[in-house]
Amino acid sequence: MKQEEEKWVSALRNSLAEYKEPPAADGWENLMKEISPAPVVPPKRSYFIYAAAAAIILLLLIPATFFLLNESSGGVKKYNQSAQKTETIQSPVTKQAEEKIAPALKANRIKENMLAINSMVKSTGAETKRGVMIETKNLAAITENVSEADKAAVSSETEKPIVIEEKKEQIDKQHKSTEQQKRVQKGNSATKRRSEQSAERDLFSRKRIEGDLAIALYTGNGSGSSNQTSYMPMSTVTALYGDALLMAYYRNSQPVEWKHKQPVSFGLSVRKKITEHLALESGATYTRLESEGKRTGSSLRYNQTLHYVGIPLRLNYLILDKRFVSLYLSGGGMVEKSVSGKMDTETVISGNLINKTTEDVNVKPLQWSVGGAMGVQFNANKHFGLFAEPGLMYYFSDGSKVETIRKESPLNFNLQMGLRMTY
Amino acid sequence: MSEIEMTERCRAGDNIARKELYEQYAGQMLGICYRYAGDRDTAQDLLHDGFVKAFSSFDKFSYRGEGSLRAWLSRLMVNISLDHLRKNDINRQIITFEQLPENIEEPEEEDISLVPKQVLMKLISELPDGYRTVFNLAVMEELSHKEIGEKLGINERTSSSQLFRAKKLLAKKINEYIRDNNL
Repeated sequence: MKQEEEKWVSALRNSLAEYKEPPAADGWENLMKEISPAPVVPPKRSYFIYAAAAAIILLLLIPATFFLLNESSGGVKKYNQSAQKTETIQSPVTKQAEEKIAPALKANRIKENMLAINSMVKSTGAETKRGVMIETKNLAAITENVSEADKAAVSSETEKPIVIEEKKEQIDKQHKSTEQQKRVQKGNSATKRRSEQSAERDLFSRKRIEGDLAIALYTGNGSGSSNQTSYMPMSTVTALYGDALLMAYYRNSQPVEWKHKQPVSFGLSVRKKITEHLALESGATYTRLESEGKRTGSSLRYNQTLHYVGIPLRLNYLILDKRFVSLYLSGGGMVEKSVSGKMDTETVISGNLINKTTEDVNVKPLQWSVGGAMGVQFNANKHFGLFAEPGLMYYFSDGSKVETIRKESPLNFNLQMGLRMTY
Repeated sequence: MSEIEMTERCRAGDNIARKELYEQYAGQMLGICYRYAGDRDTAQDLLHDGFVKAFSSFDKFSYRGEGSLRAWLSRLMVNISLDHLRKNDINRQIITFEQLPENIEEPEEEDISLVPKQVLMKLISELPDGYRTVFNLAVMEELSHKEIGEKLGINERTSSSQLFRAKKLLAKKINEYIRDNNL
């Protein structure tokens, strides 16, 4: 029921709509006195974010360039082996395998000759191409059939595995080494216990002012998976299939292409300050290495999983220690031991899983590595902080023939991140 | 600084943004406060209080496009002004009726442009508190009588009659001014 507004009233409103009165000169000043000072957090926050972002970028740039260089030089390496060359392949051998191998020593020579003939057929090209192809096809057909029935017919003559003469020696060695391994394992865990105990003693005997001891829980990721081609450990194939012809096929066919998955690791570390800037860090780490392997033309798929336990030892140098951010350099090494491992082998034909076997993989030697990293830690308060340590690790060859990502690319960029509690 | 940026930064308590907000809007807001308060000194105080309140309640404001910041500030200033007037008990003043001459000729639309804006503002400020308040809310803030009634705690009819009287009085003043100044 609002009556239409008078024109002059509308005109009045329009005239005064944007009207401005000049405020007093000290208006803003007076206002400033009264309004609460700007909260401390936002300006600091932006500094914090920029500093953190800059630090991360810098930290990632340095190892990233290393990583990129490493990537380009790596790549797929193909190993091809002629039948004549005998490769001493290390170890994954189970008791089961030993049983198969031992009685077949007799058949050794015969099988080797067979192989020699086959390889000659291929390499000399004495036959026509078609002939060679037929030969290969027959071989393939035979091997296919055999693989299905292999488990049942272990004892029969024709399926005795080909074993290189040195193999027996290796088996003996293996026996000793497994025992030794156990001893080493015990020793390692004992050492670990001792080192932990001594660390604890240090804590109590030399109690210091707060802030010099830190415990960290972290997870680490190595660089991405790589493709590596190498021979399937002879002994493994022997153990699984015990078939001469199959063996022959393997030797003359494509090598195994390994796809190593990104290692996953978790750890606990204890860090102790020794000087104003230096701190010593140790702890325990668990790492899982997983790899998938296959050969083109073969229906076998391999899945290798290795579990490593390691003890790192590092020296940290503190570069920057501010309220919210800390920067430090870290360098040191680690010794790891594979505590368990397995190799799954699946036979997949036309998408169907025909057979699956599992065997233990024992990596006897220790895995040594050295590396350095840069650490950036964001402190929530005096006691808790989240940290990231991008860095490089170099893994020395452990002398075993087990293929892992560390064999393929020994120089690895990795990133460890975790929570650190400082007391 | 854009309106959005100013809003965000004021919300965060950035004093640079706050200062810019003040510099951009203080003039207009003072005008609003003056219209309600009736005198410049009170208006200045109300302006100050208004901005203090604005800075501390930015979290309640959400930017909704161009002009929304100004609208929010304006509403805030009006409310501060009304609170002040309420404390001075305008309700009693509203009930007081002035004796008005019956025949008042209303100004022409064009006449308004003859009168300087400061004068118009001054003429409005000279209205009695009750009339002035209702006039401001109805004409300048364009509230309905229902809304005015809710805001001031009076009923619609009162608001309506107050406006009627306010307009009559203002019309008389404007005509007088034009006559006196030979416009």
